[in-house]
Amino acid sequence: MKKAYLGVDIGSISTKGIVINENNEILADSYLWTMGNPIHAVKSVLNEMSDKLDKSHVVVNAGTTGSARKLIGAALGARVVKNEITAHAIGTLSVIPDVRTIIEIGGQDSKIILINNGVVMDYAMNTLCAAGTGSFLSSQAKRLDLELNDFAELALTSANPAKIAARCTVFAESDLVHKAQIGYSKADIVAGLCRAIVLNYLNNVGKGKQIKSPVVFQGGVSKNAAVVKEFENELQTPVHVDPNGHLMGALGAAVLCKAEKEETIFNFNITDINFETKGIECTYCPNNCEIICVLKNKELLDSWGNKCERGMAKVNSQKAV
Amino acid sequence: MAVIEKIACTPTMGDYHILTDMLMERCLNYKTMLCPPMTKRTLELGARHSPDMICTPFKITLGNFIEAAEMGANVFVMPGAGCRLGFYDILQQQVLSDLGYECEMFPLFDYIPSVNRMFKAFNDANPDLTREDFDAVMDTVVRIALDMDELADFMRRNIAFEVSKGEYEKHYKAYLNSAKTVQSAAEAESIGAKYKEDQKAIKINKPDRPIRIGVIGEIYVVVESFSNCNLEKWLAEHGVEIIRPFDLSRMAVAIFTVDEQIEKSGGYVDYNIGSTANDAVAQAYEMITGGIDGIIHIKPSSCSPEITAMTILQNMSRDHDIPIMYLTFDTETSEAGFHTRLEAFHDMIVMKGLK
Repeated sequence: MKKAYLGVDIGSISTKGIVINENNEILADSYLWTMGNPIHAVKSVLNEMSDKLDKSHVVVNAGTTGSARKLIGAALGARVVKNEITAHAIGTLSVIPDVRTIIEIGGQDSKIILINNGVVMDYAMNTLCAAGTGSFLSSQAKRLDLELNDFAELALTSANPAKIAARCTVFAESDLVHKAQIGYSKADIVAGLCRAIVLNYLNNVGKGKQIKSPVVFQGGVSKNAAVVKEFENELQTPVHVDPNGHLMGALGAAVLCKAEKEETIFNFNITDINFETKGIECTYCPNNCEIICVLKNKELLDSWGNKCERGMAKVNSQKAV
Repeated sequence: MAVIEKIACTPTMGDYHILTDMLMERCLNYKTMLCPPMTKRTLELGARHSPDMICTPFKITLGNFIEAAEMGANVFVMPGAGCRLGFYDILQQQVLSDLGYECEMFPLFDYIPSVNRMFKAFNDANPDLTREDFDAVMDTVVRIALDMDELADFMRRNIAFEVSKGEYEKHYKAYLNSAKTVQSAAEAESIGAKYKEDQKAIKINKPDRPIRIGVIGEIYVVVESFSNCNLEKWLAEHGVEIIRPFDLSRMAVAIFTVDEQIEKSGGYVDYNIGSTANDAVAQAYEMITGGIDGIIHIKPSSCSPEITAMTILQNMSRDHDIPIMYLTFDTETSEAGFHTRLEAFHDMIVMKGLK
């Protein structure tokens, strides 16, 4: 039996899964839309990987990352539940050990991670606002009646990108309408938009940080070749996009599993188990904490969200369920 | 006409209300009342009746006042000085009166902080108050402020390592309880000395060089844990020595010694950049030269003095290779994004230490 490690990255838009061996080689991977149902998405990802995985391997530990890491971590009995920044850094370092800067633009957030000698030195994440993230690009693509995949292709044909205000999504949108109405071609507008994403990122997330090469670009938006080109223009340095870039968070979670001292054999038939979540509002005080309960086959597995010691739902208490 | 009894209330900002309560009780013979414990309702009430773009301290303290007014408080204490905070009492009184609460505001200062102006505020409210009596109460209050800040600072540096959990907080609360009833500065001093002695005896298991994280920023969100999603509690639970020099004692000194703060900023500030932002830079420089692994800068949304400080801090962070994380707080209650950033910051520092 050969040891293997599972990492799952459950983001707002997509869910990624990976199984690696002890040499960090990918044995199976999967990438699906989350579609607002993380538990269902993870089950599908696991089913897909279980079919791909050579049966001589045993998954001895599981790790989760991404915004649903806690929920899925509880459901899978994961030993590692890590934030996406750490997971991305660890994952990327295992593939490109000399990386200095990781640019990541996902569906709802974007971040920058600065690395020196294999150690994260500094990072920043967008705050408060989703301007300059993937969801902005996809909503604008919809407005212009374009498929996301055609978006980059069209943008690359433009020789004269329209100047679009990058600071704020709302202003960018009105700028965009204005440029269209005064007669800019669709290609120039779309190219301007890709440029706006880059400028927004560098001004908001990358502000005050020194971006050194090698630069790696990840997250859903990295699949957009026009945005990559704009980054290269702006930074005057090659920007590396790994074909497996979308898996780096999951990979990081899996790599972190290797360092765990204890092992718990992970069984893929977890996909047959019925998981339910239930949000309840605690009524003990006006805080009305939103408590999330995870139920495994109708039994309370875990709960969180409570701010104080009292709280209505606790494991080993029947009150909530 | 029946005289309405004055019941004074100070918004919650850490435990500093015990100081103003003492002043209101002893200088004016007012009754005092604690704000009801802060909850989501406090925040919602405050935010609903505030201009949206105003900073968080306005919203939360207004929520405090509305909840206290519901319970019968009718005099509200505010600083009446500082940045735009100095005008909040006027606006809050208007909001409260629109909501139908008959109340008065009690600004401690008249725009410019000074003990003379403070005496004038109290003397106007109580013409029988002599300067001598006022000074005696002030001396006691100042002694308590210094002691409670010293005890709290020591606690922050060690609470992550206490052997039996909860001991520091219990000890600190006991101090506050005894401090409330002291009658003179001398008595306050002897009680403070006793508690400082006892505090040193609390057993800790502290490594020689623990992870050290500094906290700087705007005074209200730095001091009031409700407004910063219990930042310090999270750090303590993760074994971090918290260096947070900013408190009432330090601020009281800093606002009178701007030139000194500028001098202590390591050449990063050339002239007064407003309010306590000079000191924020000075604190960061002090931490970096004293040995720190990372700094967290916190501010309420739209706080202009701290925004000025941030651009300077970015240079300092780059020059000295010390990561600084910037967090902005408003009325959001979801802690998930906050914990993600905090955890990543902490992981980063731990991993740096391992290499």
